[in-house]
Amino acid sequence: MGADTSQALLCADGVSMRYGDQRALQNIDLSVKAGETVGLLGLNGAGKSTLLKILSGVLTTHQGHVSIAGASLSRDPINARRQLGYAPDTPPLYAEFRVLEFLRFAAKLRRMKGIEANRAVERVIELCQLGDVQKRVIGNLSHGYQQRINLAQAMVHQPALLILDEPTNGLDPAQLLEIRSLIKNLGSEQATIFSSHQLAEVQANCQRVVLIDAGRKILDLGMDQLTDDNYSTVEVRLKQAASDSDFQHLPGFVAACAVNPKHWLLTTLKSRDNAVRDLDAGSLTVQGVEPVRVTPVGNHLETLFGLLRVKTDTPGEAT
Amino acid sequence: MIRTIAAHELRLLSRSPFAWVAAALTQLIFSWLFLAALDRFDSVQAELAVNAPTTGLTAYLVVHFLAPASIVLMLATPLLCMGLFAGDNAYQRGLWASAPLSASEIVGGKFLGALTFQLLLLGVSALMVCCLVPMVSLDAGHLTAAFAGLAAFIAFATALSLLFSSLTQRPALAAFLSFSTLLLLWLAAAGSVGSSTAALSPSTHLQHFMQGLIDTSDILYFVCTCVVLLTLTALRINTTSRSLVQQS
Repeated sequence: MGADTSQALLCADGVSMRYGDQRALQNIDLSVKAGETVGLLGLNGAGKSTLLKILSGVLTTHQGHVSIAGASLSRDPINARRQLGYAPDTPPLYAEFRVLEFLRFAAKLRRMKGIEANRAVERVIELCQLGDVQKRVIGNLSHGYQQRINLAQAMVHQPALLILDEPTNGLDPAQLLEIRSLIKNLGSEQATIFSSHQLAEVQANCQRVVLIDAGRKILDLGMDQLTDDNYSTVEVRLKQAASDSDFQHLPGFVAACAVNPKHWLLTTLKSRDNAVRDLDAGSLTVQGVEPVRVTPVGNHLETLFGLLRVKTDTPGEAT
Repeated sequence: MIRTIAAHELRLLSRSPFAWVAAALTQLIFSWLFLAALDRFDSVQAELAVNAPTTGLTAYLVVHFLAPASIVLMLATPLLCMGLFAGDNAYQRGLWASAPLSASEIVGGKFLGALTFQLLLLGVSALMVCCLVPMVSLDAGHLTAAFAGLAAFIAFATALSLLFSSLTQRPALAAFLSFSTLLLLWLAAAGSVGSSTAALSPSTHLQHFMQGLIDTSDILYFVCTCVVLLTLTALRINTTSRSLVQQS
């Protein structure tokens, strides 16, 4: 399955990564369009941070290809990196610097000069509400402020693509709301991809959600497809293991998401004539897969996330 | 861009208590060597006038102050440069790696920043010598050659330390490896004068500067070794993203 590359700002194709013998990412395709906010959701250790590091050029992929605004990260890294801002989960700050000084340095690192850099710094200071602390030493600031500086350094050059790795980590509820509103208010020309292991976080901020489990992309759907009444999702347990292709011919098929090869969540588009009908055992049997149980699911994402948690907590569950 | 990175490194060094302690100790030793050389010259002046009439204060300062100073720098430079790459944590390395910078810009900037800091230290010791100018007549050409040699040696040691700093994430290990290599290269000249290993040693080339000779081959040696070491560092930085994978 290739990523949809039409008008894509970010295009990742077949990205794979290994840590020694262990596969961290397996054949991930992802595309993000301008103005889109994509949430990368997954449990701890699922591979979210590794994927974001690859997309931001910090790590080199073992297989696959990443391009940003048409510039390949491997062949034309400088032009590709000009288009992106990356905020890692732990702020990459120099504790001995003052806020203003660090942000000016961050702007210059992104090849901004003189007045242009100063104006850009003023803009992000206002945007991230850092005015009160701009002359203070970074090491003396709270985690919340350091996280804001982290966001500010990533946004200072107004990148076309903003990559945020768990931007709300360690924030108190008030700071969390501020960062949420900041992400929501980013320009419509800017694409944002951010990771989280908090379901509510993604639901609150994103137009699209990508779910990663054990280094594999298991879901890539628009938020509307997950919540809209026009879509229906069922949880299916099968007698025998199945693969994605076994469900491709189901009527109105949108997505199949494997908890394990015998346990799936299937999303379909309901028929236009409003003959509302969830996917049932009969329609599955027609396609040659024998279900043991078919259960309609209210909130797809919540259910899937819950199932993944159960799978992680129960080592005996086959994957 | 190299200037921006150099200024950043200079600022980091100027705010590092460790760098200040290392710089202060270096200056303390320089001052002690300088005063001891003057004191000793004062006591042996009459003897020198009889036994070695060509040895003036300049030559005496070069032998008893600037030559030992190069040994001090051999220890100080790895300590001051050990954190240039190894001192950055994984997240700070991420900041560099995601910025639109080439490896040569990063390496060049860090090299220039650290070199400038050390040249300022060397400048202070040059001021000590300059203090003598109103009182005695010194051979400016000989002293200039000797200080130029020290500057070249600092550049060489900085480039080597930068390479080792990029090879490990432990600053202390980087300093140890840099110092050991510098010492090994230094000793390579000691036991085998005229051989090919002596030609590889920075001390052989520094010696000519200390004698007041500015030889093109010595300049070429320092320029070429610096270029090679910086290129190796840049190559290492280019592959860091892969090594980060193994280390995380």
